[in-house]
Amino acid sequence: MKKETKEFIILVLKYFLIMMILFIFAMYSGIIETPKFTYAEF
Amino acid sequence: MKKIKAFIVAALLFTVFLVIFEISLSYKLYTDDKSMGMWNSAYKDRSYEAISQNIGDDTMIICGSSEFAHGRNSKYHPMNMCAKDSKNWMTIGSSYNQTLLHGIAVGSVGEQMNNKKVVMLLSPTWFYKKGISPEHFELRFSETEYYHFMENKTIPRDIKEYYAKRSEKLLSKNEGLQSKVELCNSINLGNNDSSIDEFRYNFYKGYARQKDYITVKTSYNLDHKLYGKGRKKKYANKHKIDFKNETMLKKATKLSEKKSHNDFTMRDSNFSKLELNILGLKGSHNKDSWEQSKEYKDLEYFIRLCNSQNIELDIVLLPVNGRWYDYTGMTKDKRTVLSENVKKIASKYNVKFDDLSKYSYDKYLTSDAVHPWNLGWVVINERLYNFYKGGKS
Amino acid sequence: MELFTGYTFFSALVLLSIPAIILGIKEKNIKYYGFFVTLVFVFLALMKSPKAIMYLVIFCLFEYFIIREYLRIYKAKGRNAKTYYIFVFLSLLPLMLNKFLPVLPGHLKIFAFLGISYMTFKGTQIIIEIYDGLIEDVKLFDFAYLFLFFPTITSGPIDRSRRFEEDLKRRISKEEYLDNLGTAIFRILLGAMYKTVFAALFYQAMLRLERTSDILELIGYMYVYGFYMFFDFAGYSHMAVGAGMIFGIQLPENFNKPFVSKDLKEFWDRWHISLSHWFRDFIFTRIVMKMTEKKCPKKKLNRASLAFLINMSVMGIWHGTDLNYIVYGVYHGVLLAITEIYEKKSKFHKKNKKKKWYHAIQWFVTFNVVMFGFLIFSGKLI
Repeated sequence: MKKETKEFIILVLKYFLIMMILFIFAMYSGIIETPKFTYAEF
Repeated sequence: MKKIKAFIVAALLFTVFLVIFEISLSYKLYTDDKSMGMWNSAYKDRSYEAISQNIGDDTMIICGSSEFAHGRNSKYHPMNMCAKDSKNWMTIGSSYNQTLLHGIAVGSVGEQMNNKKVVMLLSPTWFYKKGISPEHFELRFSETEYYHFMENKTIPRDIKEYYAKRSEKLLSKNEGLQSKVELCNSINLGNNDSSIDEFRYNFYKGYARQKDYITVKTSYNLDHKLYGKGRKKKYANKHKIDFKNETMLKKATKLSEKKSHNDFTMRDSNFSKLELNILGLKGSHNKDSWEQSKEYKDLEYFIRLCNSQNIELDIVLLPVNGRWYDYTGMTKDKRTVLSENVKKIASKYNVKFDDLSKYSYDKYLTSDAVHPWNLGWVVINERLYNFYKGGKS
Repeated sequence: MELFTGYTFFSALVLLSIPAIILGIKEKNIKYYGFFVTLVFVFLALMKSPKAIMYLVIFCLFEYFIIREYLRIYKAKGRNAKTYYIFVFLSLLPLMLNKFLPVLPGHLKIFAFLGISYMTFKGTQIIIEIYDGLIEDVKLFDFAYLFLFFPTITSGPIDRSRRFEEDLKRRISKEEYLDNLGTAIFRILLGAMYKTVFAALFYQAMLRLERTSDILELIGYMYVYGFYMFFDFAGYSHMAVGAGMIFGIQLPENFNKPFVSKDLKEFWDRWHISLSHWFRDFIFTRIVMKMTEKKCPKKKLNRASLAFLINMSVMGIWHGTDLNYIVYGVYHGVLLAITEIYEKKSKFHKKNKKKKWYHAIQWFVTFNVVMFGFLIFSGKLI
């Protein structure tokens, strides 16, 4: 594979990875959002 | 230019992925085995779809807070003691939930709950002067429930306005959530007909719905398949239910007795945590009272909301550890004020009221300052069961 | 609306960027449109609080007024140190009132608007460079655009007026603009990921470690907090620089792999660069020059050390009047001085400074010193 094509593909993959990470977080962040407070009533 | 081309290619790939992902989402949160109802989860509490999809003809909603998490590994938890009937029960609430949030939850499924029953397990601890704190409200606030609440055409306008005002104020520290709530309010209560706002509102609704679904589905699977938090067969009651059965009560007492060797008849492991600061806690609530609280108005509006949805309501005032509360300064006379105030409100709206505070001095009723222990659950379960089984009053 | 947060902002940014991109491709100057977009975002950011808008307007008018006054006086009366100090003080006055009045009896809150800490730098820099003879005129449009340029109003990067004005005049070729645009999109996405994903994850970890007094969890908290700060701020900076590029402005960088630093001096060349460079150019070097002039302290090394101490302490106070910020500044001041003395005087250092194992030790020490500094900054200790 030509060096330029390889670079291009890597760049595409970088963009795609960032988009995926942003998307996955946007969808799944609901799960981490609730900090587990300990309920200690006195 | 190369960078832009790469971006466009990546964006196209991402769009393809997004389309496939969206198509694959089933949004199904209905559980065939009816396990959603008694599953204790803050994620479920906040999910309109999780609740709504699991409301059947015989569903009874039980609104509460942290007590649901206690005693799940015992025969006395409602899901075990009333194994058969609790399959139709839907608990809503974890620690920090209070009446206002319950109103939003119940109101969101109000139309489905028409002619059905709701039990409100009132925790006395909700009635300190300021009512629910902004932090706790924000923590348990549900977008999807709020949107459906505001879109429920059978809820009277003034009730909606009360909830709108309270919500906006309590969310003032979270600008993002607050602006979404303001947007929802302006569209459903105001005369906002801007198409940009309409578009934004629909986007937020869709996004919240999707996020809800993924969150609940993932945590449900984790809890049930990985952590085994479903009902355990060994605790399920297979016999006829009899809350006054002497043998059963003796067993329950003995079970607690074994683990309790302190003056307050709490579970030892819980008491040891309080013991560390036993002197400091004495009289720590001397200055507090349940005489006046924002929670009363929240409760009134909750009752009015249920009435508007033709819901049959039972208010159960939970017991506390009487001896401990005397010790910290929330003495019996102060606690009686709460009972009287709630009684007044209940009779004003002609709503069933079960005051369990008379049990506050029973031994081994609570495992700590407030949470029901074996015998405590029996007392509560009796009310749940009888109300569920009883005809319309 | 909070800038660089939320779908509404990013949708607005995309939409408002389109005309800028068209202008850029046509090789036309973007500045007037960019100023319009800036006003839109400033309004959207502050519209919930009319008081803040009022303070912002008063602040900008005040700074512009004293700049023009000083230019007039400088041209008429020449370089006078006393006048210069008065005008520097005036340019800092709103920020000082904003920071110190709340602490004094009466607890007055004044000039409370987003970005005053950062905007003040630009005004003071202009006064200083007028005195140096580097600036001979300040046009209203350039001044307003510099102060309000929307990618920078929240938290910088801190730009310099002459550099900014060069960018405004510059003619960008279509090819260069498109290349910048590609970089801009990448950096905005990267910054969004840093801030909304990584920083958020570290923040959640922080919340869970916050309530502890256990020493191991405290150490964990320290590192988590440090990475949270980095991803949050570096993420924002990436987005700011990217947004700037779309509008034809090449803002200065704020971060450059700060955690590879081998000593504290290098660290401040890699962390919040626009800030540390501003302090270096306008406080540190001036203190050193003054000291050299008055030959006090006598030794060059002592002058540098004292200058570091003063410089970083001021930086600490700039963050806020709470004790933890001041201690943070002094902490870095003292350690920078120690670093300087050590590197100039230690035989051990001179002998081994090219060796790889020594670099590893340097890195390890620097990394932990920096992290401990963040722990102080967080307020958890004080």
